[in-house]
Amino acid sequence: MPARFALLPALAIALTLAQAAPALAHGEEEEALRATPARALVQQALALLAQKGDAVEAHERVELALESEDTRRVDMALVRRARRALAAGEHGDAERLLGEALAEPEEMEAEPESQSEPEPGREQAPEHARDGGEARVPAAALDHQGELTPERGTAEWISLAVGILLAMAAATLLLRRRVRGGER
Amino acid sequence: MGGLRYPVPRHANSLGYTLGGITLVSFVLLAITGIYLGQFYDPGTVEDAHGSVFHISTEPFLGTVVRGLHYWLAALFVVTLVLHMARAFATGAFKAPRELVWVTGVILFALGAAALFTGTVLKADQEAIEALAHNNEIASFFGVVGFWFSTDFTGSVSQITRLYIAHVSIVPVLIVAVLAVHLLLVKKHRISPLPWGTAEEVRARERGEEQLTFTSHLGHIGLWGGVLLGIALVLTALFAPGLGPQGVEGIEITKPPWYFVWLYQPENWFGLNALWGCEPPCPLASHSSPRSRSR
Repeated sequence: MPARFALLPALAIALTLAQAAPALAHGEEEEALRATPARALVQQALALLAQKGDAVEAHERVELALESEDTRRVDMALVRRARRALAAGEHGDAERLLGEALAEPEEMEAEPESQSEPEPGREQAPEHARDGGEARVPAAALDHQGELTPERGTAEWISLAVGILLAMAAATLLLRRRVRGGER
Repeated sequence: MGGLRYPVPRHANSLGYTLGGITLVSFVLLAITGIYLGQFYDPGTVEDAHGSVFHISTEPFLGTVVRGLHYWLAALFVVTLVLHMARAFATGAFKAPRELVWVTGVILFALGAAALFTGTVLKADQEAIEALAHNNEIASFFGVVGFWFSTDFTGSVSQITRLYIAHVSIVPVLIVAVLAVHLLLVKKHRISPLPWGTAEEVRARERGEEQLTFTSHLGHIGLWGGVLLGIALVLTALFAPGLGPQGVEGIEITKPPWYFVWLYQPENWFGLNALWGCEPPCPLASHSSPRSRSR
C-alpha cells in the first residue's frame, strides 16, 4: 500500500515536468490589443479598476483604447478625461468617466424617466433594459458593478432552521441504526 | 422491491462505502434545484445570462435559497465524489474483477467535472467569463477534437447557450447512462470486501461477514442524504453565493472556484499542459499485493 501512495504523486509530478512548456498567455498580446475595439478596452479598464483596483493595467488599456482604430459606441472625449483622472490618481472619477463613456446615448436620454415615483398604492414593475422592446435584462443588473451579496431574509432563516433540524434528525437516526446493529 | 433485497456485506453501511450513494443523492438534488433555476435562466447572450442570474438572486420566490442550495450541493458533490474515488483506490476496489467499475467511475468523474465547469460559466460574471476563456483555450489546445468547444463550431447559437445545453441535457444524460452501467457492474461484482490482511484473511472475512439487504443500504444512503441536504441548507443560509458584475473578456482578475484553484499555479507555470496532472490514476499503475487478480 505505501508503494502505491508513493507512486501516484511521483507519477503526477513526472508527467507534469516532462510536458513542461512555456505558460500560455492569458488575455491578449499587446499587438492583438491594439486591434481590439476601443469599447472592449474601456470595458476591460473599468473592470480592472472597479474589481481589482489595478490602476496601472487600467491606464494601459485606456492608452490602447485611445490608439484603437475602432472607436464605435464609446465616447472618446470622456475616455481622454478618464486618462487624465487616472494620471492624477483620481481613480473614482476615472471609474465614473469610463462608465459614462460606455453608456449608450438612448440610456442617457431615458435616465430622467426612470427616476419617476410610482403612484401611491401601485407597485412599480421591475425596470428592464431597453433593448428593442423585449425587456429581458433587469436594469439593476446592468448598473451592478460590485459583488452582489444577497440579503438574509425570512427564507434564509427558515432554511437555517430546517437545515439544522434535518441534519440532526438524520444523524440521530443513523446513530440509532448503528447502535441497533451493534447490539445484534 | 424484491429485486432490491439482494445481500450486501455489513461494511457497505459504513460511511466510506456509502460515499458513492451520497454523491448520487447530491446529483439528484442538483437536478431538482437546477430544474427550478432553469425556469428563470436566460442563456441568450452574456448580458441576458448575467441579468437572469441577477434576477434569480433578487426576485423570484425562494430564488436565493434555491440558487444557494444548487451552489453548495455542487461543492458537496465534489467533496463526496473525490472521497469516494479516494476510498475506492485506497481499498483496491479497482482491481480485478472490478476494473470496469473503476473505468466507468473515472468517466463519471470527468462528466462531473464537465458539469461543474459548464455550470460555472453560466452565471456570466467575471469569474465565469474567464472560465469561458479557458474553455476556448482548451478548444485550441485539443485541435480537431476540441472543435465542439470552440466559438467556430456554429454561428447561429451563442457559446453560452451551447454550454447551457451541455449543462442541463448532454452532461446529465451521459451521467445517468454511465451511472446505470456503473451501478449494474457494482451489483454484478458485489461491494468490494474490506482489504485488510492476507488474501486468505480477506476471503475468510468475506465468508463470515454478516449480510444485510440492499434496501438497508439504501436507507443508510437516504439518511446520509438528509445530513447532506441539512448541511447544504445551513451553508446556503449562512454563506449565500454572490454574483460578480457582468464579465469582461480579455482580462484575468479572478481566481477559479475552489475545486479548480489547485490548477491555478501549475497553469501559470506550464499553461494548459497542467491539465494532464489531473488525470485520475489508472488501475494499471499499481500491482501491489496482497490483492491478487482473483480478488
